[in-house]
Order: sequence, then structure tokens, then C-alpha cells
Amino acid sequence: MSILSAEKLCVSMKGIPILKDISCEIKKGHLTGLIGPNGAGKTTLLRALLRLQALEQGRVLWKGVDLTDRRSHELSHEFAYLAQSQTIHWPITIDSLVALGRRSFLDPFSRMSSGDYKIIDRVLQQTGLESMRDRAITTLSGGERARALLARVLASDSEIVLADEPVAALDPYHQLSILKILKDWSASGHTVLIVLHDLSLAGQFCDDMILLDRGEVSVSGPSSEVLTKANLESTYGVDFHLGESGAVLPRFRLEKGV
Amino acid sequence: MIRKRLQSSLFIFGLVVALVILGAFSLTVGYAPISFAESLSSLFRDPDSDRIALIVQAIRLPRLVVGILVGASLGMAGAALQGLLRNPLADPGVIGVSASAGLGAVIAIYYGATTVSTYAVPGFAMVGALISTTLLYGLARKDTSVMTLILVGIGLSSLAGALTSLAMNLSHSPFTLSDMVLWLLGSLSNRSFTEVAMALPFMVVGWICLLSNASALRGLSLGEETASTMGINLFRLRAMIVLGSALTVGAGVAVSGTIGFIGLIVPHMIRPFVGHDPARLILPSALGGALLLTLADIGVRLVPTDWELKIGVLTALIGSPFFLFLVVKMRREMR
Repeated sequence: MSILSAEKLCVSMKGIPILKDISCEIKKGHLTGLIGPNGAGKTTLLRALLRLQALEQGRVLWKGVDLTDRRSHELSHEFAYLAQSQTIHWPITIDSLVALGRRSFLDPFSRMSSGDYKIIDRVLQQTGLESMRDRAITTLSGGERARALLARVLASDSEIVLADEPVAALDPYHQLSILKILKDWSASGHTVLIVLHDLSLAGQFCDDMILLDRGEVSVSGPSSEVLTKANLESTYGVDFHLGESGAVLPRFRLEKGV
Repeated sequence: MIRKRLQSSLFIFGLVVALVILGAFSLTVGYAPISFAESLSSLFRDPDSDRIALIVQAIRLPRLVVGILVGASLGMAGAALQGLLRNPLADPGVIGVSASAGLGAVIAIYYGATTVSTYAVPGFAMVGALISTTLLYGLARKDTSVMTLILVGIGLSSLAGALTSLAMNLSHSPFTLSDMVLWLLGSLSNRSFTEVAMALPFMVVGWICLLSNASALRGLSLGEETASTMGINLFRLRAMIVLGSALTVGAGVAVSGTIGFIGLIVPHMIRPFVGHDPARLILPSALGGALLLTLADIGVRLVPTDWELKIGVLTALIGSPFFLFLVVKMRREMR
């Protein structure tokens, strides 16, 4: 059942069209991967779904209701966003970073309840950060930092998580651990939409995929239907070898009619 | 997390105790030699019949109170602005509030308004701060970026500085000119409870604006976009912090002249004690500002100069090298 859907989204920046008439659906409880070449509009689509990007045309429906009809502080309980290469401006501890996921930590007129603390503890455990919860963000490795940022998002307990390249620049171990956490998260009834560049990882973890090509949806649907040699080659302009293990290996560039 | 909250309560308590001790000590400092015990007991004696009680109650106590209020306002506004702009170099001076309040005061002196009413200079200073804040807000309102806010602040600051110079340039007599200059240097001497009563309401409203929005500043640790997905109303947050800073700093400048760098130094010193949390920083920074300004005011009274040093001069002398040190340190860390 689709929980979030885009209807004919058009976005352009300085006269250049970035998203052209995009329609897509994200299913509840699924891990959906947003894939496509650089400049296909993945980040813009993610931002449009979060209302961070002004729409020229079209609308975004969340549980059947137009997002523009919803108040932003209400939506913050339902949506969580993990930005690409997220900056953290102060050298706060992991603890405090994760607590940012809790609304009461940001609200001047409420205090953190024992329930809030329980959720923070649980999320720290899920992301394996329990033992280093008092460490400052600035002392962490890239992998630990990525897990801490993800923990903040999970602590919000939002119905949908939208993450922009959460595994970029991580080693295989950390890529797998981040995606495993997100997979488990979606299995527990939450909806997850992530931008991914690694097609093998996408094939391994995503239930559904949306393949973007120059601002348009090229194909979308169950991963097995999207991740085919023909789809990938026409979108990326690269010859792919699809191994039996699920590996998607780019081999050489195809000379397109350029 | 609970431990951290306890730690920060203890830290606040420690600052309050230090402020009380330092404040009591500051009552003993001045031309007339008054011992510690005597200065405290004279607080409860009748100033009409007792000379020492008069000195302590009418001269030293108001000076101490003005120092505490102005220091607290500068420290708190500095911490809040640094949180809003996510920049440890931000200061009430940066967004142009101090310069505009100074301009207001200079205009009042220029037109000889001081002879009409003692409220003229502080009143004009506050109006100056409010006009500049309104302008700042009007100019930076549509744009969501912090960069615009800083640049508009710098622009307003230079404009206020230029108009201040113009007023000095055109002033009719050397006395007016020296009045302006001395006032701009900033001082806590010869203050009375009249000034306290005038500035306090504005400061209290400003403090409420800042304190009630402290928690939302935490969300900005992750940048403006992420903060807005966390349900923080950036428009309102920015308005409240800018308004709160204008009220507190404007009222402070109104009674003490321009005293710089307190808002820069204090949050920097407090930050490691509160785990760099921008929300937990606000209240201790106010106490730290009060503490530092009281200390500086004791300093200007103890330094053996022919004329008493102006406190704004002392804070600038200490503050500007500190600012440069911060810039160099930050550049090294950025690399």
C-alpha cells in the first residue's frame, strides 16, 4: 500500500528543469532505493518529498493528504531526514546528537521523559554506539559518525525515513551495517527511502527501486524488475555484468549517440 | 544525559556563588577605603545619616547592579547569536545592534537632549537598537540563510559607524564631542538605580525571548534544512533571537555605553563546561558575562591610572587579541 506518493512533480532551478513530471509511489514498510546517474535529480526529488524544495507543479501526498495542507511541526513527527554529508556544527557528544531526534529535547516547554531516554538507549544499542555514547562527534571515525547520524534519525521514531546517500564514502563493513539497520527498521513497520549509488548494495537490500534518468522516472517497481541489464544500460550508458550473487558490475562505457 | 543535567545545574550554582562573592568584594573597591565587613553591614544602614552607607548604597551598589545586568545581557545575547549563526565568532557587535545603539546615544548628545532629560541618551540608544533590528529583520527576512543576516549586520554596523562619525564631525563644541567619545568608550561609573529601573524591563523581556528559544537552537547544530525537518520554525526562532538580542544589548548599551567582546569571550569559555550544547550554554553565559564584567569593573578601579580607565577600553584591549586568537585557532582546525 502506498503511503507517500508524488504526482507530476516539476522542479527547475534557474530555468533549468531538474525534475520533469515525476510520479512515483513509496510503499509502507518497504525499503525503497532511489537510484540513477549523477544529476538525475535524486536529491532534488528527496528534498521535494520533504517540502524543502519549492514545487513548480504537482503535489506530494502523504497518506492521501496533500503535504502543503499539513503543518510542518506535525510533519516532523512523521518524517525524518538524513541529509547528504550532514554537517554537525558543534563538537557535541553522541548522546546529545541522538537526543536531537526527540522532539522534547528541542521544545522549550517540555523535558525529556524516561520514555525518551529509553528510546535513546535502544537506538544506541541498535547502532552499536552504547559504549561510546559520551564521546564527542569530532573524535569519531567516518563509520561511527554515520551510525551516530543514523541513530539520531531512528530516535525520532518517525514513520518514514528519507536518507540521502547514507553509505557514501564508507567501507564495506559500515555500508552493510548501516543498510542492515535500515532494513531492520523497515521490517519493523517503518518506511525507508534512500538514495544509493552502489547498485549491488541496492539490489541486496531494497524491496523496491525508483530509477531516475535526467529528471524523469525511467522505471520503478520491485527491485528485481528495475535492476535489469536493459534498464541500467539505457540509463547509465554503461555495460553491466549482473552476476548470480547479485553483484552489479559496470564494465565499460557504451558509446551513446552523443 | 541525566548526569549531564545535574552537572550543568552544579555548574550554574557554582557561577552564582562566585558572582555573589565577587559582587560583595566589588563593594569594597573604590577611592574611599571601606572594609569588607563594613561594606556589607552598611548595606542595611540609613544612607541619610551614614556617609559610608551613602557611598555603598548610592554609588557602589548601583554600579555593581548595572555591571551584572549589562554583563548578563551581553553574555546571553552572545551565546544565543552564536547558536543561531552557528559561528563561535558571532557577537552582538556583529549584527550591528551595539553600533546602532551607540549612534542613537550620540544623536541625543548632538542635539543637546541631555539637558532636557536624563532619559534622553538611554532612550535614544534603545530606539537606535530597535530601528536597526527592525531594518536587519526586514532586509534579511525573505532570505533564509545566516550569511545574509551577517552581511546585513555588517552593513548596518558600518552605516551606524559612519553616521556616528558624521555627528562627531559636525558637533558644535569640543564638550559635546568629548561627551560622545566618553560615552562610546563605555563605563559603569556614576550609575544610579534610575538607570537600572529604565533598562531592566527591556532586558527582562529580552532574556525571556532568548531563554524560551534556547532548546530550538540545538536543532540548528545540524544546519537549517535538517532543523526545519525537525519541526523547528526557523522564521520564528530567528525573529526571537534577533529581537531578544536587540532588547538586551540595546538596553545594556543605553545605560553603560558600548562595551564589546563580553558576548564573544564568555560563551567560548563556558562551552566546554556544558558539553558544547548551544541550549545549555545560554544561562551560564549570562552568569559568566555578569562575572566577567564585574571583574573587569573591579580591574578598572584597581589599575593605578590618573583617570579611571573606561571599562569598554579594558574589554576591547583584552577582547580583540582574543578574537584574533580565535580566528587563528579556527583556521588551523578547519585545515
